[in-house]
Amino acid sequence: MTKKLICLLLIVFASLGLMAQQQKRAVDQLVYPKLNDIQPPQVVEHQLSNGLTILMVEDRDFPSVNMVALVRGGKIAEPKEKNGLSELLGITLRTGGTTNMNGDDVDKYLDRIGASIDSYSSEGEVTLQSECLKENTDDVIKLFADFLKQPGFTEDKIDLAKTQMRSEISRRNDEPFGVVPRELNKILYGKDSAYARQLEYADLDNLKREDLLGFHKTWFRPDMTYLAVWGDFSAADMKARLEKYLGGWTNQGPKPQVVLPQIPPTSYSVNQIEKSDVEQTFIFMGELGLRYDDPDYAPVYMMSEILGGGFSSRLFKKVRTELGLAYGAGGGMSPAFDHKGMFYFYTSTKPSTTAKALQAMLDEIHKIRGELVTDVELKTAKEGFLNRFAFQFDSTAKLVNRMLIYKFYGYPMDFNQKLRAAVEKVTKEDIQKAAQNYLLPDKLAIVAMGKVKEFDEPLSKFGTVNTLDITIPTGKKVEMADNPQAEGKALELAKKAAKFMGEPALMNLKDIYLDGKVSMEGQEFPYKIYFVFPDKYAQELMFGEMSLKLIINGDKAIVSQGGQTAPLPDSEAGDVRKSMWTEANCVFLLKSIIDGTVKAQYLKEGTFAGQPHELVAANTPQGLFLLFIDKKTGQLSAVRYESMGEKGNEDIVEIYQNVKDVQGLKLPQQVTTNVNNEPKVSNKIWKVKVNSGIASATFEK
Amino acid sequence: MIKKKTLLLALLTLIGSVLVFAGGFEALENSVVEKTLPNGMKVLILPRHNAPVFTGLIYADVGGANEQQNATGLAHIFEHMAFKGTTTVGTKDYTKEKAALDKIEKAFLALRAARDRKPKASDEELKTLEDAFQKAQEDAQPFVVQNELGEILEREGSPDLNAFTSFDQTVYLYSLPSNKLELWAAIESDRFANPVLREFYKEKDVIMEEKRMGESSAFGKLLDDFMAVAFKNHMYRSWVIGSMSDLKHISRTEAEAWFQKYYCARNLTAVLVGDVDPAAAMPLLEKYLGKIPAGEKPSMFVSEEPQQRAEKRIIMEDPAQPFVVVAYHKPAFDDPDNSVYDAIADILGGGPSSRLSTSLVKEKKLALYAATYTDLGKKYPGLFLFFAVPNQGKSPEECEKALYEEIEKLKTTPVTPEELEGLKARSKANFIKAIDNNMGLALNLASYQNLTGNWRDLFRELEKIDKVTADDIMRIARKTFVSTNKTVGIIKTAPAKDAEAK
Repeated sequence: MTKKLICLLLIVFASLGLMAQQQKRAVDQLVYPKLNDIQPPQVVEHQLSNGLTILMVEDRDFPSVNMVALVRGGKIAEPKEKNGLSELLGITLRTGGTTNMNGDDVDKYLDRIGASIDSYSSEGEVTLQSECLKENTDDVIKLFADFLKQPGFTEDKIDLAKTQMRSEISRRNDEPFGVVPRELNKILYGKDSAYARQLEYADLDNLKREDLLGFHKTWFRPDMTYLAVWGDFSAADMKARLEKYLGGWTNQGPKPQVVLPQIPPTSYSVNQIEKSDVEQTFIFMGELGLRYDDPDYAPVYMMSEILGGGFSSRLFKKVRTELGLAYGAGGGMSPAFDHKGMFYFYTSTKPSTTAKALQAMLDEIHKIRGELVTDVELKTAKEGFLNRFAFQFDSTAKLVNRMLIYKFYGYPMDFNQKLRAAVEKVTKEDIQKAAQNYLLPDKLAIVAMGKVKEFDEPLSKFGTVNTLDITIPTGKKVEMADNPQAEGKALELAKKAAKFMGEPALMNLKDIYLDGKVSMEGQEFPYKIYFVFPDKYAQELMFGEMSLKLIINGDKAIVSQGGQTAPLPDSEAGDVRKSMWTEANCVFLLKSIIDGTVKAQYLKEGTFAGQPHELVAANTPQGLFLLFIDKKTGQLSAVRYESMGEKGNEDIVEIYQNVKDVQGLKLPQQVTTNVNNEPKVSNKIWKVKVNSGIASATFEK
Repeated sequence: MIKKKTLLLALLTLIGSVLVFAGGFEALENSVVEKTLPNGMKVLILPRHNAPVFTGLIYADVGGANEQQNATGLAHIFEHMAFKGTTTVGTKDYTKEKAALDKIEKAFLALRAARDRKPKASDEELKTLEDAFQKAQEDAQPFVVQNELGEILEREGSPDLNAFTSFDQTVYLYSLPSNKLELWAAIESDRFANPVLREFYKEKDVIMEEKRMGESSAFGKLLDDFMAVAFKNHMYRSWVIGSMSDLKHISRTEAEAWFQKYYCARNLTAVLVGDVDPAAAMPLLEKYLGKIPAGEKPSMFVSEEPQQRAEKRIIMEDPAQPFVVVAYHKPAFDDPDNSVYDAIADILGGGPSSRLSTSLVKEKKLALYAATYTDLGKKYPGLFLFFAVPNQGKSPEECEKALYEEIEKLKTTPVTPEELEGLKARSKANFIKAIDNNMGLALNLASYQNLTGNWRDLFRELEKIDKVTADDIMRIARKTFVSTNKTVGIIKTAPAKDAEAK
């Protein structure tokens, strides 16, 4: 046989072998018919004379009518000093009713007819939407228009919304998949940016009905509102109805300017959050991404799909399928219409495989930059996108909402068609270039939350570790400007108070133990305090045979009862940490001011219990404490601070009485605590031990 | 699988969305084409041509309730394994792979026998067996083409590859462009005629992570304990994910036996909804799904829950959001009074002006959220839940008391004609929401077919709701909402707070 013939035979055998293998698999032999044409319903565009833009789609499949209005100005439109205004507006726009019908009556009315109207606020817009049966179309449009034109924002619903928002703040650390992306967001956009800013209790006290009315007056105007309507109606008839109810809505004053937040440059960081009540470590990593209309969007999108999108993605295959480390792993990009979105990649795994999973994710990021993706990967990603395209049209709601958002942000109405054409052209080289240009390891921010001590390796393996504090601030936010003079005076006064107390003994104080009795609301409980400076502290309360211990041990906060321990919730832990500063006549706070770890400033002179006192403000991580130091004697008579109570912020004053000398230290035997100016709690202390060498096991359980 | 909605989540999000269906949709009902294939498999096709896509669904009439003590979590494990491929999908050389898989199984069973032994096996023996088991797994890995089944479907355009397991059902559902109907039939046929449970032990690790993830939420932990307290004998007592020890213990042999018993054609229903021509589709389905062996319809017997004798209560202390749930046993989904329970659930928990929202949230400001849920267990007698998320500074007990006030009112005062009128309007609106998408419709058809024995019952629900009277509601409330039929579950935030409150 000639060499040529052998080659030929080899080729034939090879292809036969291939065919034999293929014959086993029905899925490879299928020939798909041509896909039926996509026949999107017609979108009718109309503008009222006041500038309100309307998109309408007739859809007679079901006897219902739906509306969505987008109003420019969400989080980005609220002034920084009115943090939370847009969220409050998002809720109360609907719950607060209209000037014609209060919120409760709206609820009743809509429930009676099986309809709904909802509102919410997001980064760049406020959304109002409704659904109703066809027979109620006219009434619901009228009501919908009233919500846009003349919302009620009644005080009762503002209060209700604030209560709900307060509760949300208090629970915001419960859900790990909420906490970690939120912290990543803050790192990428800056914690004060409208794209990341979170709400605090103090912000809510600052929001008033006038603010809502002001926001509404500025931003709710027809020439900045976009409305979509779809369902069982004729476009001509709908046009007339909308003209009737919304035609008279007028633009007032000059058009407000949309000012987008600046996004600062970012750099590589490794961040960890200690959380002892979760079974897994939750890992997110990310960096700034791009806008939808970026010219590189298509290749970057395909790259992110290969890396993190779905079953076929590298992260899923590596972390879940190959290593079995997690239930979920993946990520991708979350682009935005008018600013840089972000890339994010995530997984959650048991603590003992944290570093392993994290390393596997980083390796994949490096790999996609380093080498070309395979033909199969490119094919899977591209075909997946192109084959999924028909699903962009499988519901009228999906289609109309997409068109509305394009219109709202000034994108061409055929934006997704253009994207489709761009995806078809993407090559392996484009993907590598996209990874190299946009997936920058030196810009990556990593956030991991879990039981840090149980990690397989410390995260310092990946770089300098920042520890993030997710404790929820209880009181007003404080930022003390530098004022050397006031700080000098505060130090002087702290020393004066220390002198009164017994300076050498105070400075030598390593630990303190108190035994006493607390009475509140007609009941009394014995209690004990154990405190080893600087960070071990326990309060033990006795209820007959039972005792309950709240323990702070460094970063850990636990509650212990009958030998059983559980993590202490952040809000409670915050309260206990607060007590550390004021315990036993504020000994720890005084020491901290003197050694410079707590910044304090002299405020002014004032009177307390009829005597002249000097007021010193001390700024701790748990908030501000106001010390009252007797002008004559130097005695620290009282401390004042804010605490989060059941009904909002409470003003707390602890008054120190019956000072007695204990081993060279003058300490009060009685402490009365006023809550909002009323004496609520009284502590009697009958035993104090100092430097007794409290066992560290005391703070374990 | 990956996008699976857990029941926990569903419980919070599906609140009040009692699926109630209105009449006047005869055209839709009449366009359903049904057929029983020669192997006994039920097929339903509902053509809807608004976009060139369809949803295909395989419903297995089996769920967590059919499991046995010692092997809980099996239904859900099998669901995961159904994504691992077949004798031709997911393998490089099945003959060699099979030999390697058999070795893994032998090694695992040997290891398991040693682990189970009392008194304990020695550490050395366990280590040797463990190493052999690891080695066998490594030896099989080179034959695997990982995730091939998922990859094919994603590449061909499925945007929503999914499956879920509940107490009552295991459902495999996804959509495809409508020219890929034959692909769906071929994949589903292969998957249930020739499944290979490869990477079984690695997938169990994934499931254990899924369980840990669920138990990172206090609500998940509470529900897990709650069901075990509410049910004494019936297997609804064991949450679908299974116990950690059983997850570790279950072998591939048991999962294969599960498959043999419950995945025969007589126990499966196929539903297609979307841009499908029934006349063209039926021969394809016969060709492919016809390959699944007929088998025997398995027994559906599960130990019955005896009459409860006393109120039960569990209190969990956890740093998370406090929570209270009050549950009463109720009959199964096919009970003639089921619509009355749905009506009560809607009137008490359905909309922003529902009784619970009005009383607990708006007026008393005790709760952030208060609602009802009727669907925890459908095939067998299940639970009717009332629940509330306490407002800041309010205790679960205060909410519980307020729930009872509303429950008692039901027994003594008839609901108003306005409330019944609202119920009917909301039912119609909810119906439209449920049928305006292919997947919802497919899932409902399959569920009704299996839970009541007739998919047409889906379209009878409104008539039943229409017939519910104020007297019915009083009758059922008096019968059901009694303390000896009740289980209460509470998450209490911090014991510290209670001490202060005293």
